[in-house]
Amino acid sequence: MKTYITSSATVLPSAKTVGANENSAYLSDVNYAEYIEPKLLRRMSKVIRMSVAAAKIALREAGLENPEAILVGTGLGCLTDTQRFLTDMCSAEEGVLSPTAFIQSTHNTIAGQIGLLLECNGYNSTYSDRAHSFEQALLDAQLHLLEGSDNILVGAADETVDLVENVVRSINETGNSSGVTKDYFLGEGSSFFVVSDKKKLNSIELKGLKLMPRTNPSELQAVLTDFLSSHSIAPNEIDLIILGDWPNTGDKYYAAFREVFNNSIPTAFYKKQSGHYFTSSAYALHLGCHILRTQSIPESISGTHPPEQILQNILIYNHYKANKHSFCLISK
Amino acid sequence: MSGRIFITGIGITSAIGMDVASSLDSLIKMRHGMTLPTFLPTRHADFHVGEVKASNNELCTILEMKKNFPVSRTTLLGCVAGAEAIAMSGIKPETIRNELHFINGTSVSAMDISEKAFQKMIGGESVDYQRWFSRHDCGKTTDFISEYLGFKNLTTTISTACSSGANSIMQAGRNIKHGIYDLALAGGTDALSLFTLNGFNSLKILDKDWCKPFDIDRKGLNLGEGAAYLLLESEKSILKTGSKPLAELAGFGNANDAYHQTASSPEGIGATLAMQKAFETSAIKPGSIDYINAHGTGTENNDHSESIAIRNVFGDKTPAYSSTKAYTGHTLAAAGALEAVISVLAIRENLVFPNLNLDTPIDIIGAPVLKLENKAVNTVLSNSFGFGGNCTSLIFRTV
Repeated sequence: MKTYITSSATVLPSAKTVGANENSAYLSDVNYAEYIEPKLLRRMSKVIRMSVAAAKIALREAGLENPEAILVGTGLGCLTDTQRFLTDMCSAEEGVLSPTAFIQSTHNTIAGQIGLLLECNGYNSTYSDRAHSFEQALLDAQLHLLEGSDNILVGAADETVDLVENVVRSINETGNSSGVTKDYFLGEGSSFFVVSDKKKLNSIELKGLKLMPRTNPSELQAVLTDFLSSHSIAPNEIDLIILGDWPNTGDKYYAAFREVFNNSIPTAFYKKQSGHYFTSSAYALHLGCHILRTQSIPESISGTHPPEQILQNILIYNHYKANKHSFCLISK
Repeated sequence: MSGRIFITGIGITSAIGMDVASSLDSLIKMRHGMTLPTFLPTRHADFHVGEVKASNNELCTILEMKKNFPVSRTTLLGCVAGAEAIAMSGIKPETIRNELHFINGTSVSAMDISEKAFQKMIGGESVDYQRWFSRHDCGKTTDFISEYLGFKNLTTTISTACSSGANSIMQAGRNIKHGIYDLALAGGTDALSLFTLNGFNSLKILDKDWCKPFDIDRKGLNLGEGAAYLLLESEKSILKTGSKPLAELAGFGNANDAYHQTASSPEGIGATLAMQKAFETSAIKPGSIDYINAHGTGTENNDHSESIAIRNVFGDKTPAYSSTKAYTGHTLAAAGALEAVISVLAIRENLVFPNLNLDTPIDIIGAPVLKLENKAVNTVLSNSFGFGGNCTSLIFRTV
């Protein structure tokens, strides 16, 4: 069974480093009223808005009204409403509280709201596994295809909010292999994909997806070599690697990963646009699909000269603090 | 590929017992665990809750873990129940370590810790973020339990509010059925927190007194806390491990009500679909269900909607049914897992556990079971519904 990405969309409200003449992969300034009724929009936090917009764009591009399943990954869930309810509760010392923020604070609000707006009674689930939140949703999409379902809506979202931002920053920036450099910034965003086992016009094939728990750099190299050979691809057939790193962090895992390839392999750093958030690797996948479709690598994220030949295979690698590693291989 | 899914270990910790044996004893003796809050430092001291009868320090002693270290109660409860399920199995430690996939459901995660620190933050006190918040997220709760239990393999965390535990079991079941992996520990954990107690209170769906599921005069739910896990193995795995199956996970269905963020549709659309899908995935017909462990929270909305859904699926032949929420309280992400363990116990012991605290039943599907019944229980349906329209049904069968 093959897995195809029929369509994809990303909203990055706080994106950085857009090149002057770049055909950017994402939307930063979305007119949400195009996708959501004003009455509903007013109550929706940022994470819900951007998710509904990204989901609706991905569905529209796939020419699909209703998916058979909705699968969403989120690292930290609905932070705006969580912060609001916590603040209200602490200020009122457990007094009389409005339920609105509480109702919208659960992680499954994202997938639930999309299901509600689409009136989709199909399978609906939410995954929250740090840097694997999106990849777990994507793995489940593949299982749904294996079970005979088709047209799965799979996506991811995370948001930042003022008070919590300091907390998240402190947590992300501490510990081994935190990957913090001058380029580092905390981002937020939402990416959605329609996934099918049937190839359509503009489909990108998801050739391989590999998740690993905590590992060491040499084991990582061994798993990578196995992964490539299991998909009958030699390292020199990979035209571009997209890394969840920033240039020159000295991260030993990304270094070990690159060692498997020729030194001159074209490399892109997606977080230069999206910033860091638990589900930013969903943007990396969308970016990879965009690059394969447009055959051009945005200058602002490439660490090396873009290749001259046709871009056929892209490999994405991401990890979080030496844990939750993932490889994602896509082909045109 | 379509394999069978065997349950070879169970673990449970809740207001009615720290382990399987004490929980079963409470169920048989119709002994509930609802009290006024002892451990939860809430102003709402007059609300009944289903607390696990041990402080965090006592849980740390059981787990031989460092005390006064900010590990969430959700995590501690998960470690206790997870360890019991693993210990029951007798599978070699290296197999557990390297091959087991851990699928955990949680919605509260470490909110019990975060809300304390947040309170200090708001009050202008300086807070060590790393110490107090770095284990806040759901994924970390799962990872912590996984590391405590010595698992080296991948973890999956599902957070679909009150159906998280049931969805985790379904997720493991689907993967085993399709041969993706052969061995999994699946279930859920959630502790009581000020966040959820005040949240449900703001929705005005808490009963201060002992809840009355399926009673015509029910006033709301009681919150509870706990954790429960099932050890699940493929046929291939039990040939290797020699585990003795307690029961089988025979069917599962997940559907979305797509009606309202928190309320269930009056027609029980999502619940009906979840049950129907569970029957479709199993070779079992509604007529052969011996017992339904209902979601039955005790809210006006859920118990009505669920009764309608049960009637939609079973017509006028409702099997024996009960809600066990009046024993444990509603344990949110753990509820589906707790009730999966109770379903397995119903099969193992050939018992139908009664619905407590009921005076007058809702006039839709007749009365639930009100006294402990000793009869052949071969198949059990368990329902779990949650915020976000998430509805999941599981079917268990004797082996």
